[in-house]
Amino acid sequence: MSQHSDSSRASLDLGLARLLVGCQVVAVLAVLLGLALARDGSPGSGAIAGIPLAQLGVAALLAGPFFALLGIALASLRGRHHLGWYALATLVVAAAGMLLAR
Amino acid sequence: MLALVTVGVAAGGLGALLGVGGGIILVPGLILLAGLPFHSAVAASLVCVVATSVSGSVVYLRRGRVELDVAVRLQLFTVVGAVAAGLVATAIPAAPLYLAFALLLVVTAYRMWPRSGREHADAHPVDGRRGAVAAGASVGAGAVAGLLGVGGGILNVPILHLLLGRSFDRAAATSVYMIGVTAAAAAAVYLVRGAVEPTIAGVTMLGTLAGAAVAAALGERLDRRLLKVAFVLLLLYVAVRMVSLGVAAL
Repeated sequence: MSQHSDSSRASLDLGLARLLVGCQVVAVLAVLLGLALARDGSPGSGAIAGIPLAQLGVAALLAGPFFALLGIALASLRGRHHLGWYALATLVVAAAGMLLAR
Repeated sequence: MLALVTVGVAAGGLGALLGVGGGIILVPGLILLAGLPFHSAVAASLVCVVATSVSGSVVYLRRGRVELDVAVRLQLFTVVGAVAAGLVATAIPAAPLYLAFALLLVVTAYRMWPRSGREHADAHPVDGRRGAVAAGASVGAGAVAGLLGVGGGILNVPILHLLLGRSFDRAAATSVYMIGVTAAAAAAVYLVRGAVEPTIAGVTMLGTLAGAAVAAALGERLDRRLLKVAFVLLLLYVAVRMVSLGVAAL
């Protein structure tokens, strides 16, 4: 039982690490590409299909920790551990903050 | 742009070498060297703090050093503090924030001064009275992050290490993971309020990651004690500069 729990926990840790790396790679590539494609000397002008790449990069980076929380919540739904409610509540607070900031 | 990269490299490098969050270097660096206003510097710093937290978290998660049970419970409270502070900080003038940041620099300098410490070994559960105190202190850690653009590790580590009895290494690893969510929640508030300039944040983030990579390559070759003493003196100098900026902005 404990072995199952340990292995489940290790698998969650590894999954979160992969998720965070993925978001960070997207963020770094988007910012670098944005700089490479920048026109008129302004580093913020790099865009593909009208999407500003620097903005995309920052959004991808900030999304990483929230995806990780979502991953924890989903893993909890599958009965692996009991942290899901905390993760969901944290996501709700962050979303409420963004709504209040508007 | 060169100033942004330089500040980022310095923050990433010193942060990795000394185990401090980059925000304590980024915010004053972006204000004093890149000439950014306080709120923009805090917003860019929060984005970079997320980047450094993610880099560190990946390593610590793979090594199984992050105490996820504790981190996820306390994160709820750090995020409450960070969001509330972000909403307040973007609505008030910068003068009191300069002074608060100067105070944070002095406290950090005091904590950074090399000294021998004792290791706590008894891990306590996050419930009961200790849990309540840890939750309250975590709201404070989040508020510091949201107001001043730092990760809040300066409070997270003592909460985890001294209050909840986790070993220092595990407390530091868990704190690195926690500050990512805390800073991301605060940065999202700044982003919606229009304080995050993506290019500035993105370029500084690249510098931060490069600095952390260089520091990792340098590894143990540097004298940590000497580096800490020099860093403390730098923090005190920057605190004086921040006080003068705060007084001038009153």
